[in-house]
Amino acid sequence: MQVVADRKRKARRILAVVPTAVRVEANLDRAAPRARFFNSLRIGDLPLDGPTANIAAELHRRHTVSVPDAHVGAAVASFSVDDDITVITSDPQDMRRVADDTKITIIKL
Amino acid sequence: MDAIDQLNELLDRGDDDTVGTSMRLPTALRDAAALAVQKLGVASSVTALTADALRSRLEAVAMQAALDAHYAAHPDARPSLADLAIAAAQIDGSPLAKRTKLLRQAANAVAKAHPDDADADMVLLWAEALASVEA
Repeated sequence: MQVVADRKRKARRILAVVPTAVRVEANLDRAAPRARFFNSLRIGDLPLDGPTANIAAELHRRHTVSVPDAHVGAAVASFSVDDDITVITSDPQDMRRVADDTKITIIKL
Repeated sequence: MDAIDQLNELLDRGDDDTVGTSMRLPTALRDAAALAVQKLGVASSVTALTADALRSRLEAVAMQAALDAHYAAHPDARPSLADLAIAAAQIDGSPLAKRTKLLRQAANAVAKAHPDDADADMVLLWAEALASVEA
């Protein structure tokens, strides 16, 4: 996140987001006091709304991945082809699968 | 609620309320902004360009303030210059991301040459130069 802050300071367009299903898996309730630091980093939520759930469901069926991973795949698909997408994950293989043909950069935790 | 929380709360507000404000800008800066809007289409108006730039800057300030507070409470969490350069290379999808030894070498050199203002992008540039010399 320090790199994200540095890039923002240099007026580079960069957005940090978390698919909400990933937050659920991580037991991260934004209303909880322990989420204060996370909330202060300006990481936005990508909600699992109807259209996103449809895409995630298809990825879940096709790749036999977890719901949070499928939501990440749907989130990747929601961005423009011109966007540079970086996924920070502990599971690079599943991220490659759910991204389908979309070019993503993966940072392994 | 401290200043960081207030700043984030204000930045997160989705309201469309606007306020007229009187700011004294350097004339050349105002003219440059107008030119960028009219000729380069960077924004729908000078006001939109100004608000967008101000929002970006404030978001960076809010993030850095939160990170600085975190580092103060947890000094071990502060990433080294080399760590930042490796993360930046990974985010950029740079081939240098796999050359962590070279990036650490570059980070050491940049930190010595620029002890007060070294950053990850300077390290990446230095590492590119080192890699070029190697090749």
